[in-house]
Amino acid sequence: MLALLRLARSICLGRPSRLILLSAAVCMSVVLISSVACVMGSLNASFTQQIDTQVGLAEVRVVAIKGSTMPASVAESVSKWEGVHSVLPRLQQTQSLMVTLPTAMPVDESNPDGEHSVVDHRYLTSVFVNGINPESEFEARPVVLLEGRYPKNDSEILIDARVVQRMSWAYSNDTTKLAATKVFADPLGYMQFPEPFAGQRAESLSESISLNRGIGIRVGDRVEFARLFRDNVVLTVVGIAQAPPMGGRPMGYTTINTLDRMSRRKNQISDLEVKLQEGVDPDEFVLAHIDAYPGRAIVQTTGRITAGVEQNLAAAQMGFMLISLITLISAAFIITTGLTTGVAEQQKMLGVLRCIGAHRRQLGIAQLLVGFTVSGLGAIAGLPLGIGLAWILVKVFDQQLPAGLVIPPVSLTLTLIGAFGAGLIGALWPAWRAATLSPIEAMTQQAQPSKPAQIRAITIIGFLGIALMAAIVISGLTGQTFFWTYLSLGLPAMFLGYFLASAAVVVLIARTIGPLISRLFGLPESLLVRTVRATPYRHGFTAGALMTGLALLIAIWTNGSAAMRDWINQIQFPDAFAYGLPMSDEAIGILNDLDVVERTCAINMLAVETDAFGVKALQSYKTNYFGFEPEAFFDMVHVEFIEGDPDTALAKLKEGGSVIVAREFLIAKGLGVGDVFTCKDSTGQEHSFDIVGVVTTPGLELVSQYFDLGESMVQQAISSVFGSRADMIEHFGVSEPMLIQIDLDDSVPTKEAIDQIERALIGSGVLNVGSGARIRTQIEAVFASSFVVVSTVALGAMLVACFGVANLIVAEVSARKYELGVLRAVGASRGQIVRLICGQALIIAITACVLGTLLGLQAAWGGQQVNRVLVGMDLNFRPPPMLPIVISWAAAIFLTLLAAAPSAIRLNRSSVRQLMSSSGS
Amino acid sequence: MIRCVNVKKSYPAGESSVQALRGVNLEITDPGFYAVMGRSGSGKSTLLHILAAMDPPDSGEVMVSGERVDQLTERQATKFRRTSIGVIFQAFNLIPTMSALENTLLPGLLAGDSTGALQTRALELLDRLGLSDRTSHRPQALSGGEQQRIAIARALLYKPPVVFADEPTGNLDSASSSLVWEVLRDLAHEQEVTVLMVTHEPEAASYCKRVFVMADGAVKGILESDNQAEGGFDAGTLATRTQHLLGQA
Repeated sequence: MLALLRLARSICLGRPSRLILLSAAVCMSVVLISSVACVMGSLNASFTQQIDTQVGLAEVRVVAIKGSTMPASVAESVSKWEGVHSVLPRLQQTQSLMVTLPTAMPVDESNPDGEHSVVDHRYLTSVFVNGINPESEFEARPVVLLEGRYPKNDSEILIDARVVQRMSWAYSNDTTKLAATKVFADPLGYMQFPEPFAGQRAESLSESISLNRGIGIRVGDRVEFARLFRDNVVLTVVGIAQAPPMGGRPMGYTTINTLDRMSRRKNQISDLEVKLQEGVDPDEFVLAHIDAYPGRAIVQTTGRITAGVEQNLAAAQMGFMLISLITLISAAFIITTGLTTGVAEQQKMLGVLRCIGAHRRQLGIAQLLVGFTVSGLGAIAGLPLGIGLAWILVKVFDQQLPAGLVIPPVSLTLTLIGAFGAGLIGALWPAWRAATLSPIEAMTQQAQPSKPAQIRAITIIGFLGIALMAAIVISGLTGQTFFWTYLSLGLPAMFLGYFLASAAVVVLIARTIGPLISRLFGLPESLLVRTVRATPYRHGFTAGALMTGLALLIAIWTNGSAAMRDWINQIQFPDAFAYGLPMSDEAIGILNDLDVVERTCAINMLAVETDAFGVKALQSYKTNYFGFEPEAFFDMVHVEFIEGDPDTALAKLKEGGSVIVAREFLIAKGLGVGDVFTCKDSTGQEHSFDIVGVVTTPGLELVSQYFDLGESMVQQAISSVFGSRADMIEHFGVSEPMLIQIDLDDSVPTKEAIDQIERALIGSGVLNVGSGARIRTQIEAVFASSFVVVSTVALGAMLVACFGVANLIVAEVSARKYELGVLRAVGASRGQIVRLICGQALIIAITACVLGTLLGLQAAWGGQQVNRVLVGMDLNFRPPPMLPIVISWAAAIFLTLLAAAPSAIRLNRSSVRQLMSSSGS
Repeated sequence: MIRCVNVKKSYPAGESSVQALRGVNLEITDPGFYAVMGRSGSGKSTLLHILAAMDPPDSGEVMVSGERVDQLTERQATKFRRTSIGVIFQAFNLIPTMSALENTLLPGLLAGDSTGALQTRALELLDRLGLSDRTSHRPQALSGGEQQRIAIARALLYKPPVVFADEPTGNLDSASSSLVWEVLRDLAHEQEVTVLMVTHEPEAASYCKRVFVMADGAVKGILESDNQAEGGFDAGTLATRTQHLLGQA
């Protein structure tokens, strides 16, 4: 064993640069994977925290049917049920919140750049208010405080950071109006600046901006709930709480009494937390009381609520595992290429060892030990760096990741195991090569050229892998069978196939483009081309490692632009929406009376469980059930009937017991006219409806996500079905609408119309108002942000592969040092030698670009089929815009040449004597 | 043809330096086959590298084919090595991915010169060296002697007046070595080229008409061939005379 360790050590130290470069490749992979694991852990913990805030720590809930309330006396009755330890009631309402703060305003409104003076100005937003019992609420449903304390009495309120952000001057005056900038801005950023005070003056707009940037709610300020036709209710802000992650409803907390005072219907509650006595089984308890309040309230375990969300959060791990697998396979190939080069370099030493008695097994195991060492060094360095990177990201995005840094031990352990695995797997082929060298063969001066038959065989295997993936996609397999076959067989086969085919492709590229590059670089044509062709595996596999990041870029951009083109851009949103929880009759009446509003349609919404989408045992997606007056809705909404006809469908909807489904149901599940749509409500009760039409999506689910992103991330509802309001009330007990669809007067500019609507709806319980155009802009902004994030990850993967390229070039230069010296001696200039190395790097880069583009397009094509089968999204496959392809090719070429630069610079500085002072092997 | 005046060269070795050449003086005025002989470490390869503009001297004057080699810029040195001289090395002379003809044409390919005349010249040289049926073979398909003959052909491509050979037969068997020495001698006479060979073997030097004996970084003595017309020594006599010279030094 000692001999093996010594041998492994001498192999490692024989070329320290190789050890460093290969370890660096593993290190970068581990950094990427571990940082993603930690950030995902933090995100999951943040969502879990949000769920805990909503659901609480009790085992059972009694919830009024969505959108409505129940008498407060329910709390007393429930508290008397056997097995109940305690109850905690809560009332929830949407209210308009107002605060008056000194603000520098233009003295002359027609001259906004002129003099400003500080006067009182009103700031307004809608808030989802929780009326709670302050003595026990925050123990059961903890909220993280950023400033101040919890409310204690009826005149106090706690608001969250989303509320204060919306009521700050900076937020109101953000000229970009893009969701991304608002979401990621520090909501309490204004607190670092002083507030203006009455009487202050500013000479110009810029001076006024300096004054106003400190405007926002602070602990101790007095705020008002604006009420229609009634006196406002004034409260003191005693604390500011952390906002929910990823957006979500702006929240406030005050006492139930205060909220009750503002309600028309007195003594109501929205839900009740029930803490059970020790030893009481929650499921049995719920079963015993499930029919206690039929049609008015639901009794359910809190576990049922969290289970689905946790399952969906866990499903996201699937994507993470896939990316990790691909990254580690890439690292394994870099190690294979690097160590195989090493075996070739050390051929004579290995031959001598065999001649003096070393076993084949010993030489093989030594290579495995080297692989283990490389991956070990990389993992040990990469893990703390990855955690450090995640810490930085969590600090930067602390608003979106309020749970702070989470270090998931299981994920990180798997990362380490994966890294060591990559090292060992990567060392298998060089171990076999080292073990099977014959002593005589090893002692020969010159390396053996690659056998064409071997390259052909490997290429054929590669193409078979690529073809296998294509066969799975076009096989007609559906649902779960398709998903698992694609994931476990198709995707890895395609990936490995491209790797194996890379050797042949690099030879092809060298043959076709090599002469042109030679001419451009002033090199003898045969020199560059034959150098690459002489070692096709080294060059090819290095290109193979580089192609992964590029393929990821291409795939994301292909499907992302397809989603924009074939899905988002096909949706014709109505002019505007108003959103509330729920929307009151008053609000609807006010809207209808406005001149700028031509017509409205009230929509009830509910997320219902369905098995139409997702992967069993992995994910469960709900769907959105929208209920409305059928004629009013379809008058306003632009949808196309793919199955069924509008007149028959509408008639059936009015009769009841029928639904129209979105096209995704037809694509994913084959559900169409004549089939039955079955779903479950939150109590688990099943409901069935006849499908009377299939339509293109009007995008209502996108609208609801836009208004309530945090809740949507928890509910995970996709696509939609459309039924009558009557059915919604009868089957689900949801009588009050949450969404109003609005057609605006075309003669009025949209922004002006929205502003009028917002002003008119103050105090009427509306949470938000938005235009269809703005919703589309926000969605496009989110897409763009996603592209940037994924592109960054892809570039990171390409950077990892660059270590492999650098290693190859270093090894090549070292192996051919004497040969390069001979070239210099017979008349090659320094520049020609450098250009020869760069020419090799360029051929590798171009090969990676070609392979990466093909792999990316094929992966995108496969991904579209997965989307079609799992979520019913039907996209047309078309190549992405040229810009991302050009950018990714340029990045690959630049990074590869950068990787070759150190060797090229060293060569350029070396004299002929220095090059020829060592032997060529 | 070749002249060195008080040429010195040293190399760093850790904290001190090694004096490889301590003032070499050497002159060759006529074409022919010459040798620089000495033990390992005598400075003979260093001298050859300086003469072939592969390494600049620390001081002294170096003239080859009318060029002040010690004053050449990098670009001038590259062109000098390509067209004004030929160089043959002990081993790994040839580019393994190129054929015999391409290796012969290599200086022309590097210069971007692919004229038919050059190709004809290359084929003629290969034919003269008995390799006309091996032009398309790669180095790994050729014997050591054949590889060195290709290296000789490459060195003569641009008809340089001077050819340097650094231990050209170091890796060859005796029969192949003799063949290579004969080729070099004959070419020196036929093509009126000055061939300067560095060697530690008296048998190799015996083919030459003059031998410069080096030791400790300087030329210790010059041995002239008894038979100037044929340009040869008796190998045994040469060895004795060399030992005597070095013993005296």
